[in-house]
Amino acid sequence: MLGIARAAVPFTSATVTKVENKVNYGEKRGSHSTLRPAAVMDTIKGSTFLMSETESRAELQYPDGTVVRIGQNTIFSFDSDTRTLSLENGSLLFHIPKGAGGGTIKTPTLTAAITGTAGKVSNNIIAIVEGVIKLIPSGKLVHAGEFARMNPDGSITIAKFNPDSVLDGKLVYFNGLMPGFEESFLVGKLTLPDLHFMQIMEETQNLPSSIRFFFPPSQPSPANRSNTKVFVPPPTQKPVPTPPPTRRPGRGNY
Amino acid sequence: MKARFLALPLVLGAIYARPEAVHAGDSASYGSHQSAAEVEDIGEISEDKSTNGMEGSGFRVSSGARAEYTSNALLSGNHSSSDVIFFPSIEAGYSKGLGHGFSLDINAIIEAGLYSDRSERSFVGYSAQFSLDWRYKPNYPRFYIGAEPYRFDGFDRDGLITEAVGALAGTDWGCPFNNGRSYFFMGYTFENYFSDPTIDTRYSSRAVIGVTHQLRPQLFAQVYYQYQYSNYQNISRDDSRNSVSLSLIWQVNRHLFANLSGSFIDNDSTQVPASYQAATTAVGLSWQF
Repeated sequence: MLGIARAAVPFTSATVTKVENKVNYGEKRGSHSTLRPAAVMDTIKGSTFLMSETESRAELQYPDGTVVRIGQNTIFSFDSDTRTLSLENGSLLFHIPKGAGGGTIKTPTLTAAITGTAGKVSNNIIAIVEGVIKLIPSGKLVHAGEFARMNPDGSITIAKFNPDSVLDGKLVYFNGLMPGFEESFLVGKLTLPDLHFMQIMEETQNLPSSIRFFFPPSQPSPANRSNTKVFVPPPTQKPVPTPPPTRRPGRGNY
Repeated sequence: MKARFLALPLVLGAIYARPEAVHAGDSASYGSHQSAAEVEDIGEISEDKSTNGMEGSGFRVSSGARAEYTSNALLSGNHSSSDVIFFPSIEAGYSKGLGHGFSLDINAIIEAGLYSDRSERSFVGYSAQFSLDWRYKPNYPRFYIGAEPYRFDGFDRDGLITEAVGALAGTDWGCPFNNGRSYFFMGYTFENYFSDPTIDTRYSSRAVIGVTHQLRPQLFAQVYYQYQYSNYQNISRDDSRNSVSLSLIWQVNRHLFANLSGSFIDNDSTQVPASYQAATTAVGLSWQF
């Protein structure tokens, strides 16, 4: 286990800052553990742990600014000597501020060294939202936007995850937006809608074929207009026949 | 006409996903799927198949409604004909990666423009876009060709206003900066519209340049400038169109977007009736699935 020895701020305990439904506060005593309901302001130390039940969640904050949110059916503990966050079961979000000294995160299948980092963790997945982690012992790096997953065959997959899912999950907004997640990369799906609508207006009102608007009645339409219905007014009156002359012209008339 | 640049910001922040298998000698095997409780709490963590549209495929549906105030609803060359226009729209699309950097995208839109005061100008439109995109590598320029048929009908008894089929080709490119919180983009498109009536048949060249910046985790600001030149083949008309727009986009959640924007358009045409300026401001909501 890689301990980060350059901790600048004490990392010896964490304070419970929010509890939802049934979260137990456990304390190891030899081979046995005692449980009681966790409460806000409980202090989690080396020999203690949190265990949540179904539909139950909790948030912890460390003096160095580190925040951990645990999900339902989760068992979480930490070792202050090695600055190790341990997920024995379930899921959690974490954020360790830059310059806080980093640490180690450990799941049942994966272990990684972390510095200024934010991410999501489950039994066999570590996904990084901000910063970078180094898998132990392979030394492989997992960058922001990537996840590491332990596969059933013992191999580890490192790949990009769907960026649309960064803000998914109840823990992300469990006690306000999770710190560190605001640093997440730009989420796609934005569009440029504004000029689109002005262009539609131009097509419907300002193209020559929009005869009512482009060529209002007071203006002549162009001579080379083709295939266009041009209103031709009907004749207003019948032609008046020219009356026959009443007199033959003759010299006698002059 | 529905700009291919609409797709530009779709690549914001997207990074090429290249799965890498690493054999771990220190770990026991374990199941690879998340439990329902884990998904509920931290979301589903799955491989990004889209990867800038190079590999993935899938359907999408979105609907939107905007209310827009314009200073020149009559497009009469001055700002004396203000009106409020509502733009409801429904859009559905499908994209599919074809391999080797190619992808196919199909999009269909039904939209309407409902004028508050000048109801005789209200219209409904039907359009579709087909495009074949190619990009050598992620973050490289994208090249595309496509087609776009559209038809617009008035709501009154006059029916058809205009219809056309456009053939287009273009390229665009963008790059993030400022630690990924800002995104610069630019692009160019050439279009040729074959219309019925033929008087609307025209060439059009359009260039755009802009920047998107992430102000807050879910709040984005976007500014861009667009220049468009159009030449009509069957009528003596050439248009030069300059547009600038500033938008604030709030991603309420994964599906819902709110938009506040302001735009200024100056269209200079050799046909006097086609010269106009318009200033608009708009608020809108769009829902994407």
